[in-house]
Amino acid sequence: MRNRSIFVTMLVALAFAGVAKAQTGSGTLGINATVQGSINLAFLTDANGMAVTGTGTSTASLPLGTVSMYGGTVPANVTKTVNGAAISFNLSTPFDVRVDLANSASTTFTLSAMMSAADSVNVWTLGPTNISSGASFAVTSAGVYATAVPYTLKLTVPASEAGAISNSIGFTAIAN
Amino acid sequence: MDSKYKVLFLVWMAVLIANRTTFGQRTSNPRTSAPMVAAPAAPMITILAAATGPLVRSLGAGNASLDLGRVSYFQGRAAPGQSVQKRAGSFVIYTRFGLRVDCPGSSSSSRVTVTMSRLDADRSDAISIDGTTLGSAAQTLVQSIPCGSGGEHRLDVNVPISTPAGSIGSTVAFTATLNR
Repeated sequence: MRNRSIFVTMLVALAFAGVAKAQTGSGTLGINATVQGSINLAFLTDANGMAVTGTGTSTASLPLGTVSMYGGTVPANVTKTVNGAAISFNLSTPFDVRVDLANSASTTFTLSAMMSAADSVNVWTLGPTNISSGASFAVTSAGVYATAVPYTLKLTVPASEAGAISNSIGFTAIAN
Repeated sequence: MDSKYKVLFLVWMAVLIANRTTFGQRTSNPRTSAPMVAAPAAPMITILAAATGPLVRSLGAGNASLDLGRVSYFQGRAAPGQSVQKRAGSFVIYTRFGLRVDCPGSSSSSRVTVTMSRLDADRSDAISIDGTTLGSAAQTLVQSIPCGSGGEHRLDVNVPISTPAGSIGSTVAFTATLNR
């Protein structure tokens, strides 16, 4: 009887020893990336401004079309004014700039504007600032992210001018 | 010797004979005598680069690493073998990798189940494989595949824009279980 008990106990022990060997294999996949903070600037059509071609993107344009000091038409939401003594006329319209940020702790940004080419004939004014010289001008040093901020572009064309006028303004937003 | 202790001694000897790993003995010691019945070895997982995926760096014995490179929300130029898609509040890096399972000593008809889990599931960036978001609990990657086969899988890494710039890293663990 005692030998039978030993035999049964051994069988149980052997059975458990066998079950403990699970047939599993393992592997791991390490995944690494370097997240870089990024900033995005977009031009938008302002509620009171002319339609911005390419609104919502960072490459947009304001096609003013064919304009004249007297008569003619201007695009919707473009204001034309003739300056005193008929020496020049202004075309102005607001447009919006929105700056967004990702993966950064920055809370404000600095925005600057610079014309791609100086213009000594016409006068380009962004808000209160004459930017015609082609230098870089500060627009704001404490811009708020994710907010569309209107800026008014005014182009002053002298009465002596005729022909195509084309230029571009580069905006640069830098996270503070 | 008292009969009770004699029984215990015999049982303990039997356990030692049946299980070589008792008391932390190394299992990698080569056996000099061939076993009577060849037991199948544990399945072996190999992680590979997918045909259209990025380079997978092998770290040996089933371990590998995948470097997704520099990624960003707005200037998200994707590295070869991966793509980046912007979402509201996050961006997702899509890529692919291959996983193969071999079963040394098993019959050609043997099959395995592969499960996966994430070893650091409390991070803000979510990782999905074949559409299944990984957590610390094991989830099935493939229910049953033949030993000696594998396949490609899609890996998605979702990075919130609130994640601070810098290195992110995570580890996915795979387990292959031989189906009897």
